[in-house]
Amino acid sequence: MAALLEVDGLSVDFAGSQRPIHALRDIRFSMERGRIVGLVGESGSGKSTLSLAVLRLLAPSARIVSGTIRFDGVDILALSDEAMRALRGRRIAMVFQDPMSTLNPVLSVGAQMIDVQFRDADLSRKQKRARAVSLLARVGIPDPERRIDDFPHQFSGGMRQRISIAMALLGQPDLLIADEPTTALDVTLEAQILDLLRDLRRDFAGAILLVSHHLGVVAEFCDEVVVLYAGEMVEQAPVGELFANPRHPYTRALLDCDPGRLPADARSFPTIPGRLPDLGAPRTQCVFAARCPLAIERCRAEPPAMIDVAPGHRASCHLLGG
Amino acid sequence: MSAPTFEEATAPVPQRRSALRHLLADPLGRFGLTLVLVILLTAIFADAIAPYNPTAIAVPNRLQGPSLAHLFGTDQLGRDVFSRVVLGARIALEVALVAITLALAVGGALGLAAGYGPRWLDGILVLVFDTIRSFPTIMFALALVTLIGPSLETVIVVVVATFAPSYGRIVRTQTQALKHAEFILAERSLGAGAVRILAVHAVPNIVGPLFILASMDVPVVITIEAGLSFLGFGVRPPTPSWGTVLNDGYAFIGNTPWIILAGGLPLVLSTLGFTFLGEALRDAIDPRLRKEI
Repeated sequence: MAALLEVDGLSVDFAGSQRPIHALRDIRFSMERGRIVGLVGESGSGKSTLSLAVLRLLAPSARIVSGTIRFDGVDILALSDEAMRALRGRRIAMVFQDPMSTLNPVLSVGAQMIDVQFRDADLSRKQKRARAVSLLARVGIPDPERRIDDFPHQFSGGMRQRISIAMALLGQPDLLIADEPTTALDVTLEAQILDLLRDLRRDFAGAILLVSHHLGVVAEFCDEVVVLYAGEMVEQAPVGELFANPRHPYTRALLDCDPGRLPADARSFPTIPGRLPDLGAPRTQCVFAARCPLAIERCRAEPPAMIDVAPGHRASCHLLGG
Repeated sequence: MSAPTFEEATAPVPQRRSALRHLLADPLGRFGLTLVLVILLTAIFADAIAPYNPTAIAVPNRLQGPSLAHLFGTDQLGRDVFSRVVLGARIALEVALVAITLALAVGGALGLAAGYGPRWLDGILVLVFDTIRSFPTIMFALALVTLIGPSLETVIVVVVATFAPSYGRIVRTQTQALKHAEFILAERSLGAGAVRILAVHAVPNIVGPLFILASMDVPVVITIEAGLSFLGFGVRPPTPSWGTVLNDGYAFIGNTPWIILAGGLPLVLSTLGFTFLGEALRDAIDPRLRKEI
């Protein structure tokens, strides 16, 4: 059976003032049905660009330069706008980062949840409302029967994120993209939302692409991890393997920076010195070369290729002997 | 209202109130609503309220002062000014409501298309809006009257052409701001198409400010109708309109000032009424502005 999502050689450019900015370069990964894949990287590494590209909702200034995205065997970049829209919500849905702005402020939650079921023409308004209520109950909104008529501003941030998740699940998608769903929330709420997602996964059986910059979240929640750096994929591995045996220097540096893995008596947070490379520059070297403590001559001379280091574990680094 | 503002997370609000109850809780809203209702009812039941035929000429009774028989006196042809003012309300509201509804429909549709559609369409529509807006209303009215003659329809066409571009520009700007709102992206990610986005999500966000604007434009349109009728470009005599009443009174302002007052007072009251109502409506319709009372 074909993988649920197959991204192959995907490159996305943004129009810059003088030259294009390469937001994503040659991304290649696949996702099986029912799996949870974590997409990790620091700000500006292209995580959100990748998730929006999968929905074909990139800003007009972005351009897919090359590559294919196959969803359930279908090349979605070749689909008509109409066919793509039929996929959204039904097969692929997305939960966004900031629950404060992802709900329409002037419509009640119920009105929005009923409207989003516009494809179920055979359901009456009453049935749609009942579905919405049961999903609100499912995501843990207390007294959903009454609260469904409230407006978004009458809910707290955590509640709104629950509502966003309920809305995304109304179409029973096969793939749920969660773009940093907990970043705008505080730590207790973060744990609650992740618990909820984990819970929901049991009954909804879909795959989740979890975008996060938080390694702890990924470690706990995901089956597999894709690490992005400066628009390039540097490593992909099953979650246990990645944490036990990170092969790319960037992944290692990232793990070292995770506060959760610091020794209890650490006096300062480690950081990765340097900054993200110029995303407009042509690809003549390893993207991480400038910040890599182990960089050798070759790293600055040519970009590394993805190398299989173990079953299901790939990394792009010259030091792995490619 | 580009970026929706949100107050911090609030505790569950126990009671919900309908827009009407919000409106009634505001004293200015009550005042505006009362005035507007009085004007509306006057217009609807004008035939029953008016004690005389507003066009019946009785020259022997001309230019009488206010009395029990003639509340606002009579004009130079002996017509009952009160009856003329009462029926004038009907003309004024007819013109205002029809013209503004048309202007909202035309301007709104074009504004949505300009704001959400491709850039070339936006360019063309904005050029059209600005071109029309650059004509002074009066010049436009003059040209139109020369072309199709003075009538009620002429007034309506003038008003629609004057107001539709303004509504269009407002709707366009609001739509453009909304286009990039995160919740629109979220809706698109769930498969909503352009029509659904505009009808279900953009319009309710825009309609509040547009509604208040439109209801505050009602007296402006009434004034335009009165003005054009005063100048002889609008309602033809002997049909009663506040403008023609004013015109009739204007000639005799020295001896019989009550005719001017009778024509002017309803203009003042309708302006106040619709303006207060518009402001109160805005607060009541937009849930973000609702105060818990």
